[in-house]
Amino acid sequence: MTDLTDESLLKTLCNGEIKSLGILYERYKGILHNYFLRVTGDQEASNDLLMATFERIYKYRHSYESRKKVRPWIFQIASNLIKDHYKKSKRWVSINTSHYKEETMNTEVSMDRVARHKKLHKALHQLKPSQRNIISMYYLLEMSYQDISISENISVNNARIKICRSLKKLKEILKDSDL
Amino acid sequence: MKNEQFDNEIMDYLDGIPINSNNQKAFQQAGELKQLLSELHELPLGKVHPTTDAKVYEFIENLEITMNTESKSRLKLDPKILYFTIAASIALLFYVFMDNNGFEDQYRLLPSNPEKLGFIYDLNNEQLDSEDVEWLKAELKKETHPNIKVTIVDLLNNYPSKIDNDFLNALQKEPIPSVQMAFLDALENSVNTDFSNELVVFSQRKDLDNTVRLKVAHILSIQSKQ
Amino acid sequence: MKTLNPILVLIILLSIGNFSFGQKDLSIYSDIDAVFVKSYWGNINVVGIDASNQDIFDLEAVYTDTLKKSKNLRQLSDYVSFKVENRKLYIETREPKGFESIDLNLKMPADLFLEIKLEKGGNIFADNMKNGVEINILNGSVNLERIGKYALVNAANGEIVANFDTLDEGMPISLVTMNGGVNATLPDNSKRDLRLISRKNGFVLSDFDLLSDEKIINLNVRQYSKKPIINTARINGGGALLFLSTENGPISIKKNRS
Repeated sequence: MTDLTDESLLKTLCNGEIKSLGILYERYKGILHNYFLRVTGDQEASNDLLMATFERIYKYRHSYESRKKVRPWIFQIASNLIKDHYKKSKRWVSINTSHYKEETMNTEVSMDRVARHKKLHKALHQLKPSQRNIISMYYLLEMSYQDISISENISVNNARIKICRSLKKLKEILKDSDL
Repeated sequence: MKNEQFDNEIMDYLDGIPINSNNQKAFQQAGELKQLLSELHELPLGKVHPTTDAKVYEFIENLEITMNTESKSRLKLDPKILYFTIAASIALLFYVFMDNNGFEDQYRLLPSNPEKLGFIYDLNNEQLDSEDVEWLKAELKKETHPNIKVTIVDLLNNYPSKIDNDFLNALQKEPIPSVQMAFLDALENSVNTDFSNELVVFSQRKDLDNTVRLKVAHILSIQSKQ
Repeated sequence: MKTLNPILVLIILLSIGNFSFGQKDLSIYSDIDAVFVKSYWGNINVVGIDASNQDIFDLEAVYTDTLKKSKNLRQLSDYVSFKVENRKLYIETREPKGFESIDLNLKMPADLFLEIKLEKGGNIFADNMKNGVEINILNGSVNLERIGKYALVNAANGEIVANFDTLDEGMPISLVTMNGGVNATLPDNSKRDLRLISRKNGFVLSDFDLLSDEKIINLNVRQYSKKPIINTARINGGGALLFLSTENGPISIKKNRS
């Protein structure tokens, strides 16, 4: 069963094979968790959002259109959850860098590199949540412009422009912090 | 618009499309953003906390338990309740069957013409019952896209005994010549042959394309010989 | 050298032609996903502009009056209307008064979806539209070049030529005409389920190997068949639908090798 495609797994889930949800979880938990972590910067919120994603996948399994790919459908669910999260908690989260502990313990990774990562992470969290979200959809989830445009309810062209401007803003913040 | 063009050039570069080398500024900025993206890619990835794994698996397990309990509890029902439940289910199924059609419901949810067209074509692989065929004939009157209608007519050619007056009514209302021709081809191959009066009425329409008019005359001449 | 009198030039220009033209910049419509063009008589030419030049978005309309009365298109808006609804730009010519035709030359962003309805007659040419096209035409040919995603084309009297370069392999293609040939050119790795219908005077030319349970009459034989050719087949193992249908004419499926 583990060699089934995502699309076949969702089909079997619709037919009552609950185990398929577990296989989908194993396939997607890593990327989704990191997406939530990048955008929220909050370990606890990311865990909750990950849980909520799989609750929604189950709840809305019958609304999935069988002709489409499962991957962008799951990412749409995740990006909608991010939006809901920011609607509910209109606050900037504190920057949590605890997940760097593991990296710091690795002696092969230089302290300089860890410092760079922390700086980039800090800069990311000076962006607006929507900017962080669109950058993460682009580089981490590697969503197509089409899927990003649907998620953000903007045209494909505007999605490209928004990604570009968010990246430029991030670059600007990093430059300022160097001064 | 100019700024947009500039940003689009940068995005092209990031996507691996070479940009106009004359635009040095875009080239330089794109290079910087490419470097930034590679740094973002290098950011360490966090691991899912074991408690989240546990929570999700508990959720999945509960779903399985709920499903099993539901199926077991049906078996434990009092025979009288079981009888009424089955009767009610049959009544409900009958109601659903009369008022709803699985394919129809799925078709209505499709958001675009290509998806609808693909869905109709895929029905060639299904065993359609009478209700499905009636729904398709009704759809011929409602659907506005000519290529979807041609695909429906092509599908209905597999059910020649169902090519009847309803089908003719849809033809009478059809404005697009290529769709009219698809209808007429289906009528020509139909096992029901007594369409002469309706076809004569149809041929008197003033807006008919000459090819369509000739086709009607051809079918009428065949029918008159039979 | 004696310079020409501007009034004389204007009189000469007006007396030569029975046509005039107007132009409109459409770049103000930056937040749309689709363009719908509806016209009655006249040719429609559309060129998709790639993202690097997206500030080019304009329409040129050339008006021709066959009653030999020249008319200056001072106001394009008297002949062509524009409105946006649900992120779709509607460009519509007026209903013809007598016989008049309006040729439309449109340059638009290549990533917008394009829909055309030509109610009476004229030819349609579209190039480099990457987000799908849907076309409905009565009399005239349809020529599509470098099309992306998918196409649904319906014609009554005229051939359909469609050249695809970046298909969405999950989307169907349907090219249907009544009188005329149907020619589709696809990327050579395209996987498609084929439905071929040529009811008379047809043959089928294919660069692809067609896998079919039935014999396809006059396959790669340039000889018009008296019998209808109605087949299903697969190319490269099969996939989304490629529906090619004509009442009267041949069918050709070619490989795009570029």
